[in-house]
Amino acid sequence: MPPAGYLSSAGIELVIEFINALFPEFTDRFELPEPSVKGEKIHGLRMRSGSDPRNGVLLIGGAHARELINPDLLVYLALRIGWSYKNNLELRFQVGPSDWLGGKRYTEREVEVLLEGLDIFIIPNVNPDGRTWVLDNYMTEWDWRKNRRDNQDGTFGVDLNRNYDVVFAEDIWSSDDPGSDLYHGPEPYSEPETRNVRWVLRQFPNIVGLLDVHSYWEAVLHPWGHAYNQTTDETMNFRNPAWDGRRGPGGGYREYIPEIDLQTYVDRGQKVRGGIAAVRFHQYQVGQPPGTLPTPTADTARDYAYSRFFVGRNTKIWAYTIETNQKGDFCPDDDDCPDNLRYGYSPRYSDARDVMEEVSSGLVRFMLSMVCVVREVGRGIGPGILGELADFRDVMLRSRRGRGWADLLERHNDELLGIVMGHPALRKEAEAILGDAAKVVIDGRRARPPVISARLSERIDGLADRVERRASEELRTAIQGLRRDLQSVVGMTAREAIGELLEPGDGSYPSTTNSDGDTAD
Amino acid sequence: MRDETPPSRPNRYLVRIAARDEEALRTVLKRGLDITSVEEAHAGAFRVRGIVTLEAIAQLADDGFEVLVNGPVRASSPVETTTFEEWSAAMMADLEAQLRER
Repeated sequence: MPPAGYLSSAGIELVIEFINALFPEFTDRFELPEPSVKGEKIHGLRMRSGSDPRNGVLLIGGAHARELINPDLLVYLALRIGWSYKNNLELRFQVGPSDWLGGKRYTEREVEVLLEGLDIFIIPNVNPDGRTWVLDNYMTEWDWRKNRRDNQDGTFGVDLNRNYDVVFAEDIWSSDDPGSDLYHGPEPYSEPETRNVRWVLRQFPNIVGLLDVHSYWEAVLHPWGHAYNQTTDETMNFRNPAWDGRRGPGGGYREYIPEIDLQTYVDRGQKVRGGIAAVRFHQYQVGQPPGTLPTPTADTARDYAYSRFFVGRNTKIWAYTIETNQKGDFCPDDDDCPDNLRYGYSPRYSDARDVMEEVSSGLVRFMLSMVCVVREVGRGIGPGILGELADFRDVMLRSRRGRGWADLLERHNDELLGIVMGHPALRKEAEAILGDAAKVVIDGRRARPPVISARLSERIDGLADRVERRASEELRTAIQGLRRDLQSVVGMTAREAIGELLEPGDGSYPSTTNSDGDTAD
Repeated sequence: MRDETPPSRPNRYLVRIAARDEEALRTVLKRGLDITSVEEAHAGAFRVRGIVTLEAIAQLADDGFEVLVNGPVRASSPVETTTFEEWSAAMMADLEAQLRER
């Protein structure tokens, strides 16, 4: 028999301990630096096998107290992943006794890639006080959304997912009224629960993916939340003071997002949607909040995580919100439907279990898309050499063409990973080529540095041929472009190649590697 | 830790708000209300559903919006909960069964 109901905040904490005790060799339980406003300690779970550097992902849930499904979902998923990894089992998500009517299986190898290729951080219950409040007073307070700060004016609570800072000062799509359900707090990060999430992103600069789990709407949402996106006017952005005070509704403001980022967001979102839909055919919408949700959303964890790239010299984080569960279709007749079941925040637990099953599949799909294909291929050549390659990549990112390469790799990372994982011989050849390319880079500091040889170029061409045969049309086109660039640097040293790629005006673009910068918060 | 604060929020009501055009819709949406859905009622007009206080209803009405109040918000069935012990026992039984299946 599966579990029969929602866990309390204390129960979630005990489950984190339980998972850590079951799998001590590849999980750590960590305490967030600040307790909740009511003094509750908050813990997260870190899952990783091995200690070599790798990309990280952060999954958070429970920021909105009434959305009871999501903390349960995240600890359920953590236990399932750990169990599959420990016992070398495939990870299967299905809603019935068998998967003949739908279901999604992730292979044992994919489970290995999750834990050996990623650093997974999970904070299942960001807002423990709010959840306790809802569960203790459910009949009247089932729709409580905020934390439990005493606002000292007879009202309580701050909406944690309006307390980050992107366009906070603009006061749009949130409220400065402490009594409002959307109260954004007196200032950005006024709440310890929000500061905890920010701390994780600052503390672990390897995090490249964030997924904030909310309810309800059956949607996979990407930035930006506060305005419709546009990809043509770089000056129309949240940092430009010329737009201050003019970003509100009806003013024609559109937020800039680089086109390749938008394409990547949509592609990855579609993959998450596919992972979800495979389980019981629910088709989540993919898009940005304006146009997908009833209202835009401002100053959320998702937008904050992505915005850091544009403000400091921070890692680009691919950040999404998932709105789990249906938009209130449980009761077709509006007037006879119990309120707490009409909305998708705390459905009957039997329904919630189905939601957990399908969304878990989507979250695994998301995490797999965050595994770095270069690190995965190069695992055999050692972290030191990979580190040297990463440094070289950072130098290359000063050039427009170099950035183009990095963007294309990022955009097609998931497809490349699938191709490489599915063909061991091809992976082996890729690893060998990566090792030889690393030598050109590392030995480039010698008095007589090696050059990018015609032989190496031919081998790369051969590998590219094999990848292209298995690639989508878009990836094929991208690979052909890279091959042309490569031809132009054959016979050069690594340093000369960089010189060849650099163009006037290059050199000021933010690196995708982390430094100490952060948003102006 | 139990939060001993007595519930003090004003009553909330399930409402439908008629917005006659996009401009009216924007006006409703930027009020910081707990909106649960927006549907196009007919060409160019919208029906907004939400959970709002009596004060907010009065303000909407004062501003010329038609507001249909469905009734006060309350849960009509209790939430299903479980303890850590029940949860972990149930989960482990399921996972052990999965292992035996293999």
